[in-house]
Amino acid sequence: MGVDIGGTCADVSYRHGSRELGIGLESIGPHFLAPEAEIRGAPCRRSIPRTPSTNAACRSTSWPGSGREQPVGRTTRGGWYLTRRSEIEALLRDVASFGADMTSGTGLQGVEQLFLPEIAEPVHGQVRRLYNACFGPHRVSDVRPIVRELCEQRLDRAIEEDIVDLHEGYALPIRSTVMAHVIGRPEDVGEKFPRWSLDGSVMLRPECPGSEPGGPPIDAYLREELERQRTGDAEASHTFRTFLAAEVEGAPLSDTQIVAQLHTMVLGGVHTTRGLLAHTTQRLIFDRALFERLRDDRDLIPVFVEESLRHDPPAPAVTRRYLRDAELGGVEVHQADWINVSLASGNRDEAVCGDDPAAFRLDRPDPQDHVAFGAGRHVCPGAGLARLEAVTVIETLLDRVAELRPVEGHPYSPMPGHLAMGSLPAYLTPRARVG
Amino acid sequence: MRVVVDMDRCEANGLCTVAAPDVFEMVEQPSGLVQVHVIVAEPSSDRHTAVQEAARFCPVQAISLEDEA
Repeated sequence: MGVDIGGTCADVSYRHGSRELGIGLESIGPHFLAPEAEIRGAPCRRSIPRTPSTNAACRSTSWPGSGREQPVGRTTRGGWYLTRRSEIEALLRDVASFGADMTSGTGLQGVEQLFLPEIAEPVHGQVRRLYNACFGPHRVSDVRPIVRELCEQRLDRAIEEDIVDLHEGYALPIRSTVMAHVIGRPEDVGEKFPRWSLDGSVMLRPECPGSEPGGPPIDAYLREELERQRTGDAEASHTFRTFLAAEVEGAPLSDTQIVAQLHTMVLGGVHTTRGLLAHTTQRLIFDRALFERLRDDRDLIPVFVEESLRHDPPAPAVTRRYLRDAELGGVEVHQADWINVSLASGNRDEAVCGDDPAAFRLDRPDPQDHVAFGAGRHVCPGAGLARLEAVTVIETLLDRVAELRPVEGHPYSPMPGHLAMGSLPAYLTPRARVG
Repeated sequence: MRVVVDMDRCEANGLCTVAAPDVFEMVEQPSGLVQVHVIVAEPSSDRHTAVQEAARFCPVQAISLEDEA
């Protein structure tokens, strides 16, 4: 099944059901769905093209430079799409005109919008401060040794095997455990977060059909934990305590509001970071020269991470809705219209990247000049955490591994893989331990 | 150059503390919330590029850099 999403790579299929691969809720709206997709009354998910042939098609079509001469266009389902970096950045910054609506991926209408990106100012800013208090840069350095230790443990195990799945055996558990640490419950969610990520239930809302009365398992868990934190029955968590003590617009947050915020954190931290870690790891399996270059010059690791974010953004697109009638690139648009903001396309705008936007290069003048984390006041609050995780995952791999080789014949996930969940098997030669 | 942070706008994203850690710091309050604090209001000229970057990265544009009279 194919559907044209504004000239971007969109040879994807849509299915619903709890076993389907999840997507970032923001990344696609019902207006983008292929006619065959079932959206009535059931959460829709988008799956990733998994075959090498589709993968090749993805790469050869459209993200790089597509639609630049036509910066604003209609999607096949009546939404709008943007491709140019300048317009994309202006739109993301203009929160008074464009609102995020994360119900888009679920096919739900008219539910209360509690996830952080959906909240309007000035409440958004006040809630955002709580996020920053929980995992802003001042706390990220505390996380570094935890990530390092986790990477070491995983590689200790991996090195024992002939073929290692660097997705399930390495990248996957790390970002879940980091999020568990951020919310202060490292001991009991190490196994739950990956499960809810894999079965897609982390993407669901309480209103989704088929949800338990307490909402999806993540919400039920968070609600229970919130109660234990309130009564002092659990070891105090900085994150829970900060939200419990918070006042927004002069009043405390309701349990439902707190659970929605913690759910947003886990959703953002678990799902998209998987893409970043998988993309960087996959590249190291396939690009021997890159592996050696990074091994010999560790200062290039953060640059590699930024170039991966630019070239293969974990969330290739986000959706917004117009909050009022407006003009965009000479086109008249109306309140409640949907817009697909192609971050992937914006990241490959020739006006910013020069004439080789599709090349993967470590010598771009400003490696951070991309919109993989969005822009403006809704820029991803977990960006610093994601960067730290990626750098540490790569550093540890280079410290412990002498060589990685792909497994011939294995259908590796496409890249950019957009939350791809395919396995990343590799032959791994450990480095001799020094001393 | 004089660094001024508009505390009403500031949401303590802390990106300034990453760009120029010797000029900006995050201070945790008893409530758990964080406030950005300017360590050096008049940074030396070799720090101007870093401070300009900090102002550019601020998601809420809370940092202004005033030229000295």
